Amino acid sequence: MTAVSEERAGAGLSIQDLHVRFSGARVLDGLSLAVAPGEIVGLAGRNGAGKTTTLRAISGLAARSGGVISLDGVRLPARPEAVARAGVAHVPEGRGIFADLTVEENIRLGIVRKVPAERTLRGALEEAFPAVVRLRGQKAGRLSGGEQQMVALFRGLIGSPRVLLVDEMSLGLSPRALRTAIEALAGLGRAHGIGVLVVDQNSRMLHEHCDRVHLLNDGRVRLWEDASDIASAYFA
Amino acid sequence: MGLALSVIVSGIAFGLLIGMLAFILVFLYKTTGVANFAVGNIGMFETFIVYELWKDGMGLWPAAGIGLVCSAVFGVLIYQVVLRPFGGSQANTLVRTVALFLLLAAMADVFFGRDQPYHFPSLLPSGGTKVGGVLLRWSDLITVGIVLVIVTGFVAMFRYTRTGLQFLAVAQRPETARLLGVRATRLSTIAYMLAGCLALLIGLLLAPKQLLFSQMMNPILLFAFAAAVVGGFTSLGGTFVGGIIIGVATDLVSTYLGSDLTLASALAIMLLTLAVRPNGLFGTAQVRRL
Amino acid sequence: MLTRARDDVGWPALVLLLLLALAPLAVTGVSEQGILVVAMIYAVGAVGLDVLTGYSGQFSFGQFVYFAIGAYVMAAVRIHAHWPWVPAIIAGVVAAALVAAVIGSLFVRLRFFGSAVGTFFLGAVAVDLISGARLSHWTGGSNGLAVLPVTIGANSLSEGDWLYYTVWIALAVSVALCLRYTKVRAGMAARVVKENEVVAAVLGVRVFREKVRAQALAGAVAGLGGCMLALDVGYLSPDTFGISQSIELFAIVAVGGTGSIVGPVLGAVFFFSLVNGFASTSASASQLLFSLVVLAVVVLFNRGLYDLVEQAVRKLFALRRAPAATGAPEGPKTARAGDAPVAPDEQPVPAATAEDRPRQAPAGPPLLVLESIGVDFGGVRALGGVDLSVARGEVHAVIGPNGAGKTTLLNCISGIQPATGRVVLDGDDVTALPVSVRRGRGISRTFQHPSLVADLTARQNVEVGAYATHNGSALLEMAGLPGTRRRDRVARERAVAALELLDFPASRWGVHAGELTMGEQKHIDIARALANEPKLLLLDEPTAGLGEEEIDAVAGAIEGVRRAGVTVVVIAHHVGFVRRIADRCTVLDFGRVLTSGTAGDVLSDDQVVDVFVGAGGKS
Repeated sequence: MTAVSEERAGAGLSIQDLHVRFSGARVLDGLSLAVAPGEIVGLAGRNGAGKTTTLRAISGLAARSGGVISLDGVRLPARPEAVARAGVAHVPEGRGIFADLTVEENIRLGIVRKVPAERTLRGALEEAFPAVVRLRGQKAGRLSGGEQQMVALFRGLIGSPRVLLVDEMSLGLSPRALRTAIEALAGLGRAHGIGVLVVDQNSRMLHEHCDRVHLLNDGRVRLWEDASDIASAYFA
Repeated sequence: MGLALSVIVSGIAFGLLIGMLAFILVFLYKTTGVANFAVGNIGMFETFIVYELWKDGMGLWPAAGIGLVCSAVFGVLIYQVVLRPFGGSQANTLVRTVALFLLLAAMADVFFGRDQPYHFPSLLPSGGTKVGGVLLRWSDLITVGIVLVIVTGFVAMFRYTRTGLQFLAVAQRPETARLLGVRATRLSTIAYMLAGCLALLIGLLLAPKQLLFSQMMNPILLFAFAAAVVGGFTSLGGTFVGGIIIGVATDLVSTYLGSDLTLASALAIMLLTLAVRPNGLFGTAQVRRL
Repeated sequence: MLTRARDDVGWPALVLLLLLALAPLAVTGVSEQGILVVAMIYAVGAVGLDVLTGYSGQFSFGQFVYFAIGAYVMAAVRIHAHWPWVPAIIAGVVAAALVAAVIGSLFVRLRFFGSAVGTFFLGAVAVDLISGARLSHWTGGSNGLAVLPVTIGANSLSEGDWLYYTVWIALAVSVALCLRYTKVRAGMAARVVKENEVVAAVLGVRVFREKVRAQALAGAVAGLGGCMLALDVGYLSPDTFGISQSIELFAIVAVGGTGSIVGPVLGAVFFFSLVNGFASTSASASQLLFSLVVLAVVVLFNRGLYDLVEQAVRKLFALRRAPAATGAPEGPKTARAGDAPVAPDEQPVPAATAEDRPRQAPAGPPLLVLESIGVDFGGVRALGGVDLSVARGEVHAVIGPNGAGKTTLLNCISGIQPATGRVVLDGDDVTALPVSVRRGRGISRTFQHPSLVADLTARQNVEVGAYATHNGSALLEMAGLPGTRRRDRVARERAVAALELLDFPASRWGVHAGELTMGEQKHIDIARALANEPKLLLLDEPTAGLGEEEIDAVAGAIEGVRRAGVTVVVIAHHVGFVRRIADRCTVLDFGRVLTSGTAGDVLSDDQVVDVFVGAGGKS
């Protein structure tokens, strides 16, 4: 169902026939999705549809009962720390900011693996998120929601991942801050060949900024091509 | 007055030892999710090893050095063999530490305990100096110094090393830390290694003062729990403040009211703290979700 | 460790007690019988500790304090007040229970970990106090206290068969009391508390009181154990009641298996046989062996001896029941359609939407009125002055995006979340009432995550909902007086009525809640909320995580509830579902009411559509 052409099926993140159950209930039921390097993909769906679960299953935080998830053709391990080391960065629900640490310390934690490109990437990130540089010495807990989101995205990208997963991108952000953030994200992803998977309820934003948007419903995804077709997507 | 001040000074030195044990408890609690009831007995058992080496004719300092290496290994073994396999719930791990508490005491009794209690030689010089009518013991002053060095070491580790930063990350948000590639098992192993060494240090400083025997750590373990609660069970720094409060208060109580009330006074301070400030002096509230 | 608590151990308990009663025929050696006596004495207290840990979820590493109180009080009142031995034992037991209740009420305020530390502490302090000079007039200080001999006729209860059977009777009493406790309302309520304290409070359980009750019961039987210990040793000294003994007692419960009543008795017999078997080599060697065994059991086989024995017996007699219940779904395919109980008369699912129903809510004052409800989370405004009025008999949906404050609003109504503003139910201001009292006033709720007690059956979970608000003396309940029995019968009838109202298939009533599918758990959660016949039912996302068929089934259930005349406030995200069930609808966004009206109007509002699909940052 997903429009993945043959030549790029190997590169980037690929999810095939993913199943996740919580105490008997099928949350994900055969979900298939792919994110190629440099591509930004949106995943929409109403609350409780399983968007967060999808990301947690990729990262290994949610146990999967079936399916294959691979990165650049190699199957991803099941343990979250190993997934992170394999090159999947995850900005979790609620952003996962360490409130008692400084912004700089938060960012240092994001350097998951030694990559030669770190310096150039850091330069690009500092250009894209100037506020983060300014706030470097502050305790992260003091930052506003928007600033924390910047730090979380900065931290996710500084480790030069192959794929970045972002949960609830728009939560608590003003429309302007959201626009700045997602534009920066899309630009950086394309420039450095990082695939980005953005989960959000805000389908309008996704349609505006993503290469593709998928709709998650009843445990599966389908491509959502017509942005104006909200009624059939959410009000079914 | 002079007596009271002397008591306070020795109370502070004792309080810092309490604080150090409380620090280990909280440190382990924050990195592994369970406070370890056996931590005092770990120190006791290691001190026995040093004592045996010394008794067999080795110098005290070399014996302590070998003991320190053994303690690091011992700490790792405890985590990898006893606590980690088939890791279960928090409650299960808690019971494991309680079983370990019993096991170490029994092992000490069987292997070393034929003629306990033993007199343990002090690593620190005896005697002291009088400053304005207040007796300051060298051993107390050096104890304060040692604790300060250790605290500085930990602060430096948390601030300047990657592993230290990862400890703080795991303590605050274990799940997010894993998403950032932090290997919790590795950190827990390191934590137990450090805990093993610190526990030996406490044993070495405590044994000369109060004889060496298998139950020697029980009172200080209780004081350390009280200190941890007073300091706020989530605050690493608060443990030392809590330790000093408990150390000074119990010293004063045992001097002026009788030694049978020392534990009771520590318990009273702990309960009072919980009644007035349920999260301790420096702790933060833990929000529970439905 | 905290494995599932059982309530099917009556027969095993009887068998074990009979075996112990017959044991003197086989074990004739004086010292061997002595070991069994000590084991039974520990078991008397261990059974109580199991009630505390296995059924109410609390810890105690200081249970020998209550042994000490029982023993010392019994000995002291006989020496100083010249009481006969029977009243002296009663005094010991009552004193232990009272102290346990007082101390327990201090410690239950501490979390899981705090009470473990607190009780551990208490054990050490008690030894200091007993051996100290302050109480030495009563306790004999470190010299100890001689226990006056207890005799019936010419027979001393401190030796031989008379001792054995006196202790056996004490154990039988302790087991019977504790078993009875697990069967009555108080014991069931404690198990909900163990599962989730907030849920228990919402069900009307006085959490604090139930925890203290369990403490008192455990203290009482420990006091009885202490009296038996006094009979056995004849001379009380402080180090008989140290923290090591307390910790051993806990280890005995852990090794025997928590939540099984019988397990701790097995554990005690096992412990003392083991310790004694090696006593010839040295006492500390046997301690070493025991602690190794404890460690091995908690690491490798954390469900304890009882589970092991039970499995062995099952295998032996091939008593293995058919897997789960016969009505269990056989495969994933049938699970979906099969477990979703839809009333036959509602199939096919009526296409009727809320529009077809009488639009106007019945006249008369509204059932629920919220006046400017406000909540701050550390400076973040979660709810900013919400006004809402819910008419009697209507189904009122609350919708809105993530983080809009919907669950917080429900928490304010049920009393979990303190808030500014007023909550008025049926004309009464309930703002100041605590959670458990509001349930009694007719506010029931369900949870996003159902939090059923996994080791109770579906039906028992609903029964808990029916009588959790009852509040009588646990002692009277255990006595099983006619009044209590009538009350419990009514509760059971209400539970059945609630299950039938929701068309929950009877074949699944007896299944443990832990084995139900998510859809079934949601149904049981609703039934549990309905079981005390509320005026107002609050449903928090009853459709979250369910498939389409299950959502249909929940919608059917809510329609049934509505027909029964219960007013419903429901949070939902599934718009089709809202359209089907709701009369009126309120949209929350950023903690404020965006709009409120009939479901049809609200759902076709452009502004609402914007909020739902996220135009972002509207205010």
